[in-house]
Amino acid sequence: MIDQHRQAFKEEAYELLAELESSLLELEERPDDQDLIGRVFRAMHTIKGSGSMFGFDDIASFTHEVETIFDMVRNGKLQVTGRLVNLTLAARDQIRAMLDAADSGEATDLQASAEIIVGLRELAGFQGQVAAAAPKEEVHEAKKDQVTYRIRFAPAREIFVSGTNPLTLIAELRELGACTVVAQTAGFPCLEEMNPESCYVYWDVILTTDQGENAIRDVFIFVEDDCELKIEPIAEHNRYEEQQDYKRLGEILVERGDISSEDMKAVLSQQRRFGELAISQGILHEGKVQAALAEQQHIKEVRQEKQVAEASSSIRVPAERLDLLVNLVGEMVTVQARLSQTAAQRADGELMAIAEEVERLTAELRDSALNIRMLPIGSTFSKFKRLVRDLSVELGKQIEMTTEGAETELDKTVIEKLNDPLVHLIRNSIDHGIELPEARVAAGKPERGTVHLSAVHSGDSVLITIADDGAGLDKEAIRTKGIERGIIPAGAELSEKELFNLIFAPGFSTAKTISSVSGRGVGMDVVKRAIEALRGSIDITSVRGEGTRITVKIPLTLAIIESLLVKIGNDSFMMPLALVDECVELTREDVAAAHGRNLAHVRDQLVPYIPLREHFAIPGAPPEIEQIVITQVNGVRVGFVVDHVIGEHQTVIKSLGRAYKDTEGISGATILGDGTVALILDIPQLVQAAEAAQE
Amino acid sequence: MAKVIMTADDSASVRQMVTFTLKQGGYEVVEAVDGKDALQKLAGTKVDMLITDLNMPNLDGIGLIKGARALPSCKFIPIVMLTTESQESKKQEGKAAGATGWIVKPFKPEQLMAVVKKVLG
Amino acid sequence: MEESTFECRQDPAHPGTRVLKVAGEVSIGVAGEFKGALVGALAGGSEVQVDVSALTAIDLTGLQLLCAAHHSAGTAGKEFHITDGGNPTFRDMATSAGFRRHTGCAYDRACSCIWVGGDN
Repeated sequence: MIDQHRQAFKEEAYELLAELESSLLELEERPDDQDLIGRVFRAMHTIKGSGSMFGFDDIASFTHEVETIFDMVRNGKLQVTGRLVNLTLAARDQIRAMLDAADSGEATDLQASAEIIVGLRELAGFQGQVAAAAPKEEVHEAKKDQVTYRIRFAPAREIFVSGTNPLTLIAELRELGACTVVAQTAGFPCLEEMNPESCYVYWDVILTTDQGENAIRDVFIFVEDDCELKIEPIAEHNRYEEQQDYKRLGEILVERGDISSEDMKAVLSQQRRFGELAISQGILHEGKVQAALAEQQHIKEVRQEKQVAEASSSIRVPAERLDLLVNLVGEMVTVQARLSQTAAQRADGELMAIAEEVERLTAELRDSALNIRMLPIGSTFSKFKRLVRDLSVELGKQIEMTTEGAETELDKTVIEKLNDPLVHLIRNSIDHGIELPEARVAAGKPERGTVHLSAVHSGDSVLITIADDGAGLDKEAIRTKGIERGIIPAGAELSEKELFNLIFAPGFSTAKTISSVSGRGVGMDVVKRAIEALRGSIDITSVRGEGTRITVKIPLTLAIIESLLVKIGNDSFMMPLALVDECVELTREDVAAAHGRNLAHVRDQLVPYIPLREHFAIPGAPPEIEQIVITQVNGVRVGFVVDHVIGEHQTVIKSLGRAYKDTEGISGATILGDGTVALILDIPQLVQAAEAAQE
Repeated sequence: MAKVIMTADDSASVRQMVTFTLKQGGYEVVEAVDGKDALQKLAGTKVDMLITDLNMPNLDGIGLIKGARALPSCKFIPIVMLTTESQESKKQEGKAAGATGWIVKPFKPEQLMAVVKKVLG
Repeated sequence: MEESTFECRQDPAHPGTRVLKVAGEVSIGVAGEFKGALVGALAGGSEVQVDVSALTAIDLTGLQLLCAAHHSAGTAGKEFHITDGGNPTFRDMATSAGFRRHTGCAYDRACSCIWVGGDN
């Protein structure tokens, strides 16, 4: 294809050279004929221009020299002489030779070219060697970071007369990257006064691109002189900056020069939304505020996209390696604790300084190691969408699942272990919660039911909520069933919460018919157990006729917990701090006053307690004054009696190994700073066991 | 319906290259060998864009641009001129005459298409 | 290029309402004509509906005129609406030109901005 163009050029060039020859010969006779001079110039110009187009660079650069001379002749700066005609004829022959050589592959006589050019230059009155054409430098710009620019493009009124369509330029901008365009129409005249062939609009554009500012300027290259163009970088997107919130509306407007900072302060002194206020006071017109709002929105979107992009540009690492890393960090934390302890005992200032430094580094290392294991819960959420779809088809219900907080991160292990309980809860919502379409319509609800799944961070926990807009729990049905099943005595006075909690009791079902989805009466107790195994808790609220909301609270990570270190005799135990409410003393008198019932008076409230020394059959006598650590599990306060409370401790959880896997009341172990082992108490299970024993 | 672009150039090889490139890009092309030829054809055919060389016999590019802008059908169409680096002043002259933009010779087919897209959308 | 047509008629159901049906390609070549049609429609009634459902293209001059007509109608205490019948071409063009927005402009006291929303 290119050869075809080259061939066309060569044919054309031969023709032009033949014409050039006759023109030059005529010119020798009529040296003042402007028309002839023009023809010679155009022949050279075309050979040069077309030659460079089709890759005849040597011909193009050589012809350029001759063209320059004839440009001077054309402008009357140089006279046509016999010598000029001779040299030009020689140049013409040289070009012909170069054209011939292009086919045969022979090298052209560069010396001859140089001599002709030197001769021509002498004629023109400028000396100088013929420099070899310097190779064109190709400037490769390094791949740049994404930068967001604020662009104001105000075309001239008469822009259309130059054949420019500003909209194609806007479209071209959009191709550079994420782009938010706001047309400003505030300067419009009324219809009668508008010249339909003039341009009144101008644009505020926010563009995020990695192409650099020059690429933006290139878009407007033809209209530079016919418009007002302002390009300013407003944000570079690297990961450190992203943490902050983007500029406030007022700041953007002041930066843009749309409003003075005095005016802004005056407006801000009143407690209303800035944008509305500024417009209502006539300081700003609406379009400007619109543009600033668009800027905020744009930055937000770009950042989100960037996060997604970052997430996808990740490295895959086998999970075991991460587990190993976390394990090592765990040991590191333990050793660090020992170091701090030793340093404190030695009272060695220098050592203590080092220990402090190590403590700080270890904490950072621990946090980032745990962070690596964090995954967004979103992938699990999307699996549920399929589940909801399939189940609703099976049950003849119309259900839409909405999700929120898919980006919420949780420890990988936690996410995996959460899957089954969540599936169960969602199944339950679909089966028992959402009504059949007819029933929904009869109840004045939309045919289509909704199951809303959301995840949100709350302190060191994540709250996962499954909310449906179904029938809600039927308290009376639960009570009846509870009595039927012998879970509660007839006539028992139960709070709403207690009633709802019954559905987590083993073997409970309120569905009228048994479907394949749920209703086999197993499951909810298993769910509760699974959540508790993750050191989480489960909470249920429901309004009859409006829906049910189940909230699962899960700690962020399983690897490390904040806990309270307590001692019984020589043995150390850990209690998860999240479950601990308070500590009170228990004297011998208190015990005697309770007459063998394990109940303590705490601020006029009776709190049952479990004497752990007895529970674990630890030999030896308790101290005069024991301590009760009062915990709260699912709203129920239960105390645990220990000898001493040592204090808070950061606990790296080690599993107990297969042999002790089923040990009740103990969920794991940890190694203390002095190297001794402490067992981690499984508080919910201990409470459950105690309740069971009482019944 | 395909848009129609006129190429006015006295160099047959450039016309051929421009025509070939534009046709590949899905445009219809009308060729003119110089300014005079172009103006005559413009009076009879409706074109959506004009690409013109500046140095042409009979009527040069500047003259063609001025003549085209005087035609009602060409008042607002994009007109792109082909120039060489040595013609900075010509560029200004062309803009003053009503040119929308320019392409510097030598250019590659991709560059031509980029400019066509820029001005024609 | 498709021809553009501007047809103005009285809405038989609503006296005082002029319906301006705009069809085909509205470009700068017909901007003067379009302006004339809008001025005429506004002069002829207290409410103007511009029906762009059969519009196949609109350029910047057309969008500007619609905006200015809305402005003028507001000043004269008249009502001005656009019905696009879901015409995607019209919507796309207005959106890509940056005309669509969330709230009306400063002249828009009656919250009737022609670019807001767009479902009617």
